[in-house]
Amino acid sequence: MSAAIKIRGVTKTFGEKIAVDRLDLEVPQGSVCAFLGPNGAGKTTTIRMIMSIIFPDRGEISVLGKASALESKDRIGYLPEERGVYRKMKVGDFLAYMARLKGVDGAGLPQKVKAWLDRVELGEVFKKKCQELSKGMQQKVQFISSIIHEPDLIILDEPFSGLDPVNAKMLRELIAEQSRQGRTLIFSTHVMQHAEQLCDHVFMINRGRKVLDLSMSSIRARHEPDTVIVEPLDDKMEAGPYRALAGVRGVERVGSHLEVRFAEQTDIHDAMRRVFDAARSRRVELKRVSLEDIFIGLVGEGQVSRAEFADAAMAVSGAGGDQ
Amino acid sequence: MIRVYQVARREFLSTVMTKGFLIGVAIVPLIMLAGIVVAPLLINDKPPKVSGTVAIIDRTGAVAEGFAKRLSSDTLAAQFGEQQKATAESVKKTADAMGTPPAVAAAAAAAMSAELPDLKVEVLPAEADIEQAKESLRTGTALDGGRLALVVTDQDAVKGSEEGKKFGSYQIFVKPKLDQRIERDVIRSALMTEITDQRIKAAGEDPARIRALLAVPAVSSQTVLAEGSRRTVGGAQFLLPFAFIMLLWIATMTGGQYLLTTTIEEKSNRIMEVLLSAVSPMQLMVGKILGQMGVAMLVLLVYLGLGTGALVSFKLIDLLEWQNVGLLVVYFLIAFFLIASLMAAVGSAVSEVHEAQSLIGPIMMILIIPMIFSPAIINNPNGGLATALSFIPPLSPFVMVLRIPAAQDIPLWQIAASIAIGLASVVVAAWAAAKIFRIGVLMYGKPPNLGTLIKWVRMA
Repeated sequence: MSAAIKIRGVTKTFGEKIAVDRLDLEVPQGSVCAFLGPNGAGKTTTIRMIMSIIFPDRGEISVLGKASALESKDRIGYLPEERGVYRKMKVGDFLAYMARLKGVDGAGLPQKVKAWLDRVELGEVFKKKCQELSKGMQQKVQFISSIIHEPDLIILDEPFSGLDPVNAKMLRELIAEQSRQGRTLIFSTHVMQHAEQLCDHVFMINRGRKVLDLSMSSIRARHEPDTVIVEPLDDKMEAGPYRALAGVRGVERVGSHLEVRFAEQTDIHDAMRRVFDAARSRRVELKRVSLEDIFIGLVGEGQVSRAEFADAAMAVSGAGGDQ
Repeated sequence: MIRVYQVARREFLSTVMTKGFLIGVAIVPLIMLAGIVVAPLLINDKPPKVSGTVAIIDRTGAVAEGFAKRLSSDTLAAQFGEQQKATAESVKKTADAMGTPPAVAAAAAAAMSAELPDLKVEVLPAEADIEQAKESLRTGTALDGGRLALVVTDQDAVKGSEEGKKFGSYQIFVKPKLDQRIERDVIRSALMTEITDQRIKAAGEDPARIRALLAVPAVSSQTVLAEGSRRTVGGAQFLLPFAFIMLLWIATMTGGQYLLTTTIEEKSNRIMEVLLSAVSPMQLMVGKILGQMGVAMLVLLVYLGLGTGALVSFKLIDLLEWQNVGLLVVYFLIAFFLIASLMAAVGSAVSEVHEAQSLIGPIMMILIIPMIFSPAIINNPNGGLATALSFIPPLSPFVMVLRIPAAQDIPLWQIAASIAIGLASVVVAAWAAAKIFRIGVLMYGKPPNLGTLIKWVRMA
């Protein structure tokens, strides 16, 4: 399976600041990838280099098999982080113009635009000026502009920012639909759940360096859970019965449930049975380590040195990359 | 190339198809038209009626009587009657030439004439003290009536001294706010004429005969054309060059201004990055410039059409030589691409319109300097100043556009050279603009100053 995007040893510096540091990345064709990282990590810089809007100081990027995204502009859809519209243009005209700039044939374009607007429940804004749209409506229109030309590769920078839960759900469905049609998607987000729900691959960068590069399945597999979640039938029950169990490291209440952490060597399924027997419960389940935990673990809440980063990255990702 | 066309088309339509533009392009010519027709009505020069006394201390002893007669109401009525007729005649002639309706012309003529003043002459004794006589002028103003002026003739004003070679003069003292025209056209002219007449009489001649001898009318010349001839219109040589540079100015500024604001809008609305994922910075810049060139062309053609129509109705169409219009278009293109490139560069470097102000300054100089020198250039189109300025790259199209209708015989090599220089300056400006545009479009934050822009141009 060839790569939709190949990044090899790319470095980008702005004056003193190293924005991207020897980055190696491969986005498999047809996959949906999440591009994670804290603010200022270099995500937008990397995306701009993929799009050939800015150019790396060192290293190579190939997009859709070509040396530069410039050669396949019409086959790429892009939604930048800072996105605007032509405020005085009518929505229908705006989308048609964007589509034409991407090589969509003028014939049948108005119908296409209308169909898309109906799809996102914005059928009535066709003749309205863009400045009359609310933020959420504008986001949906901008999303349409990035895919209306049926691109092979779709790059979305923070597509979910500012969307309410209903619209976020709609966007998730649209992304899933695009993926089902065989397109490659890569999007950046701060909301881990979006990544977990949609992606089959995750990249994480921090301070310009890649710290995670794994498929979702291997993330789930790698992180053998050592914690059992239990929701006792008796809401007022506290840690008591569980602390006494063999191999228990600690018990913590998290919202409506308790989390019982076991020592590393424990047979976790055995532990689950013991928790189940300890008291009547609504639910007993293995805790999956979430992407959020990994993220915070890698990025940390305080000062972490480069060396510690490297160690953490190594530990999590094995010897760099996975099957 | 097709992308460039798509960008240009959007730029053109989004600029032109707005209420603001359409109204502007229609209204301004209408205002100018209305102004020409209606302006005469607006000149309401009528001063208030003047009435009062003019005192005279006539040291010559020969002038007072005639002076008094000249200021009598009968004489004044006759004199004003003449003037009124002459004014009406000239207004009618101008109105005919301009096509103004006769009723408007009559009203204009009426508005321009003044009311008959009501003056009495008080002859003071020849030995009267001037200072004492002046006292009554010190209080109040001419609007209060009473003594308005004091006129004093020197003793030898008529007879002269040194065997009639040297003549005395006169003095006039007036109260404040006396209408200039009463002082000049009534009092002064009566006094001077009377003194002259008395001198002529004293020399033994007949004043009326001398007047006839001296009267040679100022006949207006006829300009002979290829077919027929027409009355020479004074100031025509200013008309066309000035009109040409104004056309160039308006067209270039319109397009340039829009280019600046639409580029800044695309940056501040953050749509720039989306555009750049579909077109290259160069395609964007060239497309926008071409689109705005369409806008400027439209404006140019509208005004050119109106101007031609006006010339036809004033029967001055011969002033317009069509090869000059051709050259106008060539210089327009040069000037436009020059200014447009610079405006695009500035627009790409800033994120808000007000940030552009300081960078626009030098560009405005290019437009203002030729305007400042325009009278000199028009008056002396082949002179040193005009020729020298024609070869200074940014100024050259504007200067040439002034010279060409003003002069008949600009050497061909100068025209060719100025076009070549103009094209070269466009190439340089566009190249520098491209460099700035590429970098500027994605730059936000503190706006760069001129030094930074130069740095960008010099970067690889």
